Amino acid sequence: MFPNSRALIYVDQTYIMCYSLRVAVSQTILSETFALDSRYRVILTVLGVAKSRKFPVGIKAKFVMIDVEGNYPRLLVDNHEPYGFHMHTQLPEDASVRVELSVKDHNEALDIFLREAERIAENERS
Amino acid sequence: MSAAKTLVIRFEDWDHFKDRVKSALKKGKPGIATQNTLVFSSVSEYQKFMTEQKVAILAAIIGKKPSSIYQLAQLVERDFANVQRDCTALEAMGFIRLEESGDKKKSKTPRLAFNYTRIEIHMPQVTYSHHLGGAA
Repeated sequence: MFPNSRALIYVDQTYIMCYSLRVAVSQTILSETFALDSRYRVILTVLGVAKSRKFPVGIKAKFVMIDVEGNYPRLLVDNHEPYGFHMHTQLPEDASVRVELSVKDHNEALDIFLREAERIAENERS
Repeated sequence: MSAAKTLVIRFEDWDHFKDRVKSALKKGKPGIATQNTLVFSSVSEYQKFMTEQKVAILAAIIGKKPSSIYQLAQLVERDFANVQRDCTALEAMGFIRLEESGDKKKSKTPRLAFNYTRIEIHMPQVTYSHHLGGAA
C-alpha cells in the first residue's frame, strides 16, 4: 500500500498520517501469551501488514520470552529486513547479537522459538 | 450496577499450547488472547508465582490506589525493594502496569492491567473413570 514509505519519513505530517493508516490496516493473525512457569512468560504476535521494504512478505512476527523477575526480554525472534527471521540470543546484555534463521515462514520460526524457549526454561530448572 | 470485572486464570499444558498455537497459525485461524485472561502452564506454577504477598499487593492497589511503589510498600508493611521486585514480576505477568507518575523522583504508579476486582481461577477439569470390565 505504501511501497515507498521510507521516503515519507521526510514529510513528517504525511508520514504520521500514512503510518496511522498502516497501523489501522494491520491484521492480527496471532496474539497469545502464556506463562511457561513462574519465571518466564512468552508473548506471541503475528500481524499481517502492508508489504513494504521492511516487511516484504507482509508479515510482522514477534515472539518474545520475558524474564518475569526483571521484566526484560530473554529471547526474541522477529523478522524485518535486512535480516529476515532472526533470533536475539544474548538479551538483555546485547540486543545487537542476531542469529539469522534459515526458515521459509513464520510457522517454522515459531517452532524454533518455542523449542529454544523450552530449552532455556528447562535449563533454569535443572 | 455494573458487574465486578474479573481476571481469569486458566491452565493449559505447555505441549498442548504449542500444538494449538502452531496448528492455529498454519490453518490461518486467528488466536487472539483476551485481556482479561492469563494462561499458566500448571496450578503449581501459578501458586509458586502468586504468593500471599503478591495477592496483598493487588488488594492494596485495588483498595487504596497508592500513587507510588513506596506508598504501596507502606500499605503492605514490607520493605520497598521487595515490593518493587514483586511489582516488576506482576507487571511482567500482565497483572498490573507501572506507569510513570511524572514527578521529579521518577516514581511509578502501580495500576491494575485493567479494572478488575477479583481473580477467578479456573482449575483444570479432571476426568477419570473406573473400568469395571465387560458384561458377563
